Amino acid sequence: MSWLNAIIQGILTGGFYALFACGLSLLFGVMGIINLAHGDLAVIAGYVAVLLIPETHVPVVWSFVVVVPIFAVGGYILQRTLLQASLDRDPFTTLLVTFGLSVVAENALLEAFSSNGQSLNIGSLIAYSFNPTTSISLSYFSLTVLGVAVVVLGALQLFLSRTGTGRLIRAVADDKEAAQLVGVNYRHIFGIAAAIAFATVALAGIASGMYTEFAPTSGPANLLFAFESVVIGGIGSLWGTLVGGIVLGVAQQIGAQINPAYQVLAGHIVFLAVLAVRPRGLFGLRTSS
Amino acid sequence: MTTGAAPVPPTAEAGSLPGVTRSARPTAWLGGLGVGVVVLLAFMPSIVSQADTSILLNFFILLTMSSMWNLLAGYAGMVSIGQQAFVGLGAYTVLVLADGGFSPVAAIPIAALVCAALSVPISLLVFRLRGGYFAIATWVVADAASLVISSIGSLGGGTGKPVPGMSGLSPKSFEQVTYWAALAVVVVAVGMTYALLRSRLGLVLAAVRDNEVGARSAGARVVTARRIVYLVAALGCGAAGALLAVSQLNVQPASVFNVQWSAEMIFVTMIGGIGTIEGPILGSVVFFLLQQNLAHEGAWYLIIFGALAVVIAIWAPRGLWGTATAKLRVQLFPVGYHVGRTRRRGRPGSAPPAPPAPPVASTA
Amino acid sequence: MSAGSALLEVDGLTVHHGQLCAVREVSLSVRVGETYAIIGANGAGKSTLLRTIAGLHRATSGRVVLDGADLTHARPDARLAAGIALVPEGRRLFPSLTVEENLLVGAYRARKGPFDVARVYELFDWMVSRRRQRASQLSGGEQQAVAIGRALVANPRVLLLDELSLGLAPVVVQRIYALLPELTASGVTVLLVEQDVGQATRVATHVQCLLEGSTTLMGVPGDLSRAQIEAAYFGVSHDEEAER
Repeated sequence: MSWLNAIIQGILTGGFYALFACGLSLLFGVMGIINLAHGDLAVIAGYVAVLLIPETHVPVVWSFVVVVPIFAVGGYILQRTLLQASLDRDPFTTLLVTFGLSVVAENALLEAFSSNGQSLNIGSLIAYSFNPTTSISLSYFSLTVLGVAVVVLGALQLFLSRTGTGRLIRAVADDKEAAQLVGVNYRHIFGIAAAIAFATVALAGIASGMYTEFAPTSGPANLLFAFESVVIGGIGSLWGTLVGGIVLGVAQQIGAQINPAYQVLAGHIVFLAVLAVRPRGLFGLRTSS
Repeated sequence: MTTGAAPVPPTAEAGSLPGVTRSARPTAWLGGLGVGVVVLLAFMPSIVSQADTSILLNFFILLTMSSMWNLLAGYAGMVSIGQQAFVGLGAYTVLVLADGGFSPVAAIPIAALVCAALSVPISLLVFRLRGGYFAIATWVVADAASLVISSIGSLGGGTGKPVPGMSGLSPKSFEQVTYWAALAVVVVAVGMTYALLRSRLGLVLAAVRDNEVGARSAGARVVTARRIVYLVAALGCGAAGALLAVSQLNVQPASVFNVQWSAEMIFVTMIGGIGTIEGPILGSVVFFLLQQNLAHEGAWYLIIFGALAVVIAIWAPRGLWGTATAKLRVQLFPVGYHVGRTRRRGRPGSAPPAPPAPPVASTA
Repeated sequence: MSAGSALLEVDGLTVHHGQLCAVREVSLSVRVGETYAIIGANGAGKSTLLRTIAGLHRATSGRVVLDGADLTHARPDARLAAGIALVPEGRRLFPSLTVEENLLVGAYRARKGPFDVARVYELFDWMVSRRRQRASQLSGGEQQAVAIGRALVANPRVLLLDELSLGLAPVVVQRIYALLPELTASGVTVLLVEQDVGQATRVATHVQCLLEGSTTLMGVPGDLSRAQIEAAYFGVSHDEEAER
């Protein structure tokens, strides 16, 4: 029965991964860029929360209310300045720039904080769980995160398909030159997309920071898991990202059941297998090749 | 029918047909200079201190890796952040062979070949993606390799293992042997890059870099060219990893499979000048100068280096060397083609003859 | 703005694609209510000219002036707000958006005027039933209609039409060109680029011919002979023509 628990834990973990991944997916879908600093942004969000909570006297569990808007604004600014400048060159440059920012961020965090792990302490809230059977344990926190992931993805989907700004984002993603011709300042739209992406990754970082420890070097793992979720689920599909995150989570937990050291490796293997057999991913609308 | 008034295209005078040369100016003398430099470097262990020899050795390793990344990204357009996979695999191949009684130094070329062989199945996987997805996929492969090796107890697991087989040497001999091995590797690496780019493959890569569809329709085997480049890069990075194992006498997954190798390769190449052979050399020099001067400041040299790479990528994408030579048209390692009048007739590298004036009269 | 004064003026415009000079010192002047056609063979620089007027290319030298306002350095979206709308070559609809969504995006920065989504549906009544279909699923002619509609809902003062007839069956092309009088009657000035000389001269009030980036002929279609137009189009001088 612990296998069943492993699968359920995997599904719950998938919520975290989906939350990490949707920003990555949005940035790629709208602007065609892969933000290699994506994972580090989540870590930075955690540290920002650590710094701000004592100042703002906000209960830790509500820290995202402060941090997420900061990140949204920061994302807009970063996009309109640095990232747009590199996009104007070519996607290659953007890849290198985001990689550079990632390294700078990690090392700056190492200088500013120690390399020890930190976490956002929400006290006993994290421990509440219920056991439907003796071998299955469902943490309320993880369930909440999964719920939040579903809500965020759903809201994002609705935003894109039903609102005017969402329509503009889709139009710019389709053809930014044609969008210009109908009066859309695509750079501003890119900024909005980046703001949304940064906001979601900040949320993911804070949720993750409450659940486990994070350290300056935690970024790459976040990035790899987010990326694997997107590819497994299928590039171009938001709901696919949720499914991909869940598949990844389940694969990792099953691997961990076999041997705790195999957890991450199991995820890599499933990712590589999807790449080998169905590069489009489970729900992919287009490949990236 | 044309009227007499139409301008006639200038006929080429005998002896001044445009010639195709490999460099804008005569640079054969640079070859001699290069040999001289290598000979000088070979004598370094006798001239400089052990600490400096060690710096030079690490410089050679970094230069080897950067030249390989430059080949991948600057010439074949493939941004990889997973070359550390081959660095690690090269290092561990040396460990495996040394454990089996093989001489570690002699194992270096074998390690390189093993990495080249492994790059083939890996390329079958990662080539299914492009651009940023390709980049992260290479990172996933490196991480997977690291995890697999960490789980093998006989290889030292997560904590690593010392490399046997060099204990018979005196410290001085050890220093010399490892240094010369590194010098040999970097000379071969840079030399091989140079030879590759001067070959037909180099021409294919340049064509693909400019216009892939055009290159394909002209018959270029694009995917094969990319696979060959990926293999060569694996060869070079494997040799670099092998050198790490031999010179540090200890192999540990967290160190040899660290993504920091990619960071260093990338920053060095971007700052020095991507797409030029001289670029990684210049970039590595800058890197070591920075590292030596900021060695006491912890991670600051990486922060500065990374920030510098970002600034250069956006505002001076040709890097230090590329920006400098754009004006001078000098290449220490000439790999392009220049069309100009042949040298007999005056300054080489002058502009090609003006195209004939458009016909005023149609001959339809 | 009185009818008859210049609405759009292009003055000595030169445009380069890298080292290639695509448009060479071209000037034109379009007055309110005119239908101005630019003709010429492939590669003559017509589309480049139009795209530069719309702001997608930067001119090397020269000016683009709309109703006295110098737009030479304005971004494309600013030009749309000023009143220049381009229907680009190849339609360039937003493929993943529906017909209606394409039109709604077109109205994003609409100026005040007679055109809105409802009016476009009156112009093309088949669109009403198809409005929830993805743009990528429409035929070429249908896409062309939607593209025109998308530009119209912004209520431009000058409508730029780039190679309407490319890739469309002649019957479809004629139906689309038959719309132009209605547009100009609603106050839209039209500047179009067209390879099909016959089609262009049938609808245009003024015609200008480009060859290898330079103007070779300008005038009112009724005043120009076929031989003149051919000569300007192909670059054959009158004397050579007679000699053959």
